[in-house]
Amino acid sequence: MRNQLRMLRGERGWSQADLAEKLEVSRQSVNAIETGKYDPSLPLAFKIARLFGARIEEIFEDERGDGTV
Amino acid sequence: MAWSWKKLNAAKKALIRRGAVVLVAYEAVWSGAFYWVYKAKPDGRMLLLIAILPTLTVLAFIGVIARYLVEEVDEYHRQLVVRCMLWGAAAVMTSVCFHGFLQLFGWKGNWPSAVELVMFFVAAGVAKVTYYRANRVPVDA
Repeated sequence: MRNQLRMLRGERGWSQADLAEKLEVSRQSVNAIETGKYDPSLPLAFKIARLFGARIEEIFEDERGDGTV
Repeated sequence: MAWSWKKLNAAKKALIRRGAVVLVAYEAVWSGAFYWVYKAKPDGRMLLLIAILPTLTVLAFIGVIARYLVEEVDEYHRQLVVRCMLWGAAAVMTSVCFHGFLQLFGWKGNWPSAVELVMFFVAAGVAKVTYYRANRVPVDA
């Protein structure tokens, strides 16, 4: 799953540590999500979306992206 | 990034504290049971009862890990711990299956005592180092 986390974080001038603190997770978690090594659970995805004031699908993008199930 | 106790979250600190207590308890109970059997030479049911004692601390250790998984708020770390435990479980099951198969066909050799415990910790430890190296975080920016 691709995501815009690094870009959104960059726009706000936050470091990975800043974002990790706001999400109450480790920096390793933020890095793993940003690099696509780990897909967050729905509760964490909602938390990220709330933090950036965006919808989940505006931050996370299904790599198939063709609307098929 | 250097390891620091202060940087650990509450769940990890509790895991280390409880894990240390259980490991010390395991050493004490195992040594005590060993000394008891060595000196008193019990047999039958008494020997079985004494043999159960060290296993209780092993169950306690599993309980400590289970509690950590409940308390850990960082889901990424939680899944890393589960993956490490799976590698440990794989090592134990492989060992049991391997020497069980040999015994079926009359193997009379001695499998080292409690080797599965060692294999569990070695496999879980190697998995942990491997995962953490593979997911090393770059300098923050």
